[in-house]
Amino acid sequence: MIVNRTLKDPGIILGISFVLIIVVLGIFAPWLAPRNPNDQILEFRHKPPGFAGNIINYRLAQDLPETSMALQNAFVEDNTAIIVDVLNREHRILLKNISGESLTTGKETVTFWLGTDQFGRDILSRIIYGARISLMVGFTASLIALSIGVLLGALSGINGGKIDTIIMRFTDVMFGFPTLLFLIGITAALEPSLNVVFLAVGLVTWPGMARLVRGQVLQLKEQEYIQSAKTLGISKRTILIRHILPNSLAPIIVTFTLGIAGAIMAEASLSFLGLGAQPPTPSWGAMINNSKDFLRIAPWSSLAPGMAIAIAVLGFNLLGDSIRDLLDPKMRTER
Amino acid sequence: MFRPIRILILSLLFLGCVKEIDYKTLTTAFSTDIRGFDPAFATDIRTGKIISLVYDNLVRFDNEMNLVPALTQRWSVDLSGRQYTFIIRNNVHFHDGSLLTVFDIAKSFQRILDPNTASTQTWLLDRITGAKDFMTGKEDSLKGLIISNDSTIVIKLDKPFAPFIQYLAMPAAAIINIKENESLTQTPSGSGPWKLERWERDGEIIFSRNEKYWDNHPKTERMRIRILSEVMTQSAEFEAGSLDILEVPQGEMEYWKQYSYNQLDVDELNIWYIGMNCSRPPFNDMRLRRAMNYAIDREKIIHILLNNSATLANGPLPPQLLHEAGEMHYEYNPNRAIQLLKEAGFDNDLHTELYVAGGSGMFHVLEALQSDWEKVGITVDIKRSDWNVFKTSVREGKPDLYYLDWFADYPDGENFLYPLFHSKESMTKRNRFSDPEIDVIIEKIQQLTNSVERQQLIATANMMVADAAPWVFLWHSKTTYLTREWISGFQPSSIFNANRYMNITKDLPR
Repeated sequence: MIVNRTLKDPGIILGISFVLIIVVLGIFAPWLAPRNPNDQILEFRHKPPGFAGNIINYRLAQDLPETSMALQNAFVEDNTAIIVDVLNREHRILLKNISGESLTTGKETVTFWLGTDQFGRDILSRIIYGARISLMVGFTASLIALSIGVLLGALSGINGGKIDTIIMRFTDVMFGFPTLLFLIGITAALEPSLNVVFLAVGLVTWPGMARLVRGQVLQLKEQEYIQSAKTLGISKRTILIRHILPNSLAPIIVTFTLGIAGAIMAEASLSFLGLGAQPPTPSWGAMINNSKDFLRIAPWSSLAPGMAIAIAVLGFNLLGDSIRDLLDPKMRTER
Repeated sequence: MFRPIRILILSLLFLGCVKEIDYKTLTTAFSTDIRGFDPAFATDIRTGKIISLVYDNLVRFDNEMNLVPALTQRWSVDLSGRQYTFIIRNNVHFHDGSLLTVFDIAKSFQRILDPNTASTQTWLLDRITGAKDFMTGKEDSLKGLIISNDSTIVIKLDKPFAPFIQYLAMPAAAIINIKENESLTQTPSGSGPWKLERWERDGEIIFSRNEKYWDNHPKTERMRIRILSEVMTQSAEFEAGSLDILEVPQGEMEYWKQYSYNQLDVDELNIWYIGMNCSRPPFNDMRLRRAMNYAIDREKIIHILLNNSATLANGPLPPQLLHEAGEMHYEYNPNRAIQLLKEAGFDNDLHTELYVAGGSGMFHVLEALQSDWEKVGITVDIKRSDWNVFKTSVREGKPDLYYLDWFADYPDGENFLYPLFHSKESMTKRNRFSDPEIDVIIEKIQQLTNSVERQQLIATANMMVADAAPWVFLWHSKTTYLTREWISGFQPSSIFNANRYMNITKDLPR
């Protein structure tokens, strides 16, 4: 039955496919990305989507990372490739080192499907790697929020009385802070880095979850089957873990899914402000920040990450909403 | 219910209208606000620029970086190089109408040194005889500041110090009409060519011209400096005709190239650099510091990322301050860098941190440098922090690497050498560089008055510093200004407080 209704709902199909795209991109980034996301070819700065250019891949020594250079004019002399660059300077690159290992993979024509940014990096590859960061932040931060929220909400709901008051007032205080401002405060006070963002977003967004779980617990506590379990002398802890939490799973999943969208957004905002991912990490928010000054010259360099954020957030939101619709018995009768 | 729609239509109509241009007001923009109008706290360039509009100094710089008399009619230095005599103009009035006298000059200088003022700029005047005693409260007045008659003031120094006369052209040496109980931060009280009308913090600063200025007064009646922090806003306002002069932001260079607005490039007296901590591993090894210099392709970065709006740095001093260009240090040579790294014992395992202040200009180029270093096996993490945190950690010598710039206070090589590389300064405030030989040369430069020998010493010191590579020398940036077609006579200068917007006219071209 669920499958049937799922297929009829365009929202959920869209949601699932968006989320799937992002997840696949994130997990398989190293195989899907056409280029190293941090490889700069300055000559290819601000090239529009679809631009194709010749490059040569090389390393300066066997144990050094591979890099690329734009290829306009080059010739080979013995073991050396001589490459003439935009400034008419000659660069000499060894083709093989002393032990005969090859240092270049030769000439290559690459297409930049989404264009390049101000350093001539491939935007598509950066978007793909950026999906990893967004997903990581989304899941980690939401998991932190989930753990804190469920723990405090359940404690508060099941115990009632003073414990409830203390926890809920604390939750209210946390709720009272404007989220983004609070996040900026935390990340600015600590050293800006991705790990701080994970933690900060988790630590700031749990109150919603806590309130929800407490509400669920309070509601279920009065149900007859819980009451009878109580009469049978089953401990509070067992009731909570065996009976109440499993029955609250649906709204928790929904909030968790929506929380992922919120966390992705929060990470993008913080990175945009320079408080999240540090260069050259390809975070979507940081990408927009880096390209915003070139909006008129190279609009694609900020549009692409903007679209990516929109798709990820929309995907998780649609998914969350649809799960709620599916699992909510009240909604079921309406349809 | 229809009101929002009506408002929308009305506003659309207005958008289509051509805005009336106010030909009496010159409008330009700053990207951040000034600190205030108190010369004692004018430490940043923008505040210094504004101070030069509302105050006068004894001497000032003209557009060609020459020192010219301002409040003084003429000055002389005696043979010992320790005594300066100034003959003061007697026709200068402050904005409130009172006459500017030698006493005002003495009081203004004492105010800077007075511990109650808590000025950060005491270094400008603390070489005057008796300054130390005055600052500690031992003496009530400055011994070295002598008023001979109502138009002559004599300043004596402890030791001959050549840059002193240039110090007097700096913002903190401005002459103030000191009144009791009035904060100069909000309301300036000077004799300059512009009078403050209104200062709205983070909004705009409006000046009207001083009609009774002792010299020719400014050609435009009013001036408005708007504080617009966003690059895009500044450009859009310039296009719309609401800004007359635009300091072209780095990122917009490419965009403005396609237009034919009047363009002025100014080679500023500055240097952008990466400071390396020379007193501890790993950068106490000169080979490593040189490798850092060889590994980066500055030419390409300047050409492509900076749109040629910078000159390659060949040592700390900008070329304008050197009589002849020296030999080229540190061309792009990654293989040389790799070789030096090997000699220094680093086999692709160097991992270090580069500190940078959050909103720092030209921040984006760091990613290109990072990538160049990566190619030779040096991993550099960029660590961004708030300006104050950054400044403190640099002072405390925390970072291995930091990205910073230096803008000249006065057009003299000494201003690059002493504050940046003399061990007294560098060991306590900067990248912990110390070279006794260079110290001796710098001290000699400070004492010699202008001469061929002094110029040669400056060139030598520049070469020696470049050789020792305490920094990664990046470039000297240019500033590009665009002016609208109705502006003429705008002449920006390499020295930040030389341009006082005096000869600009705003009129439609005929």
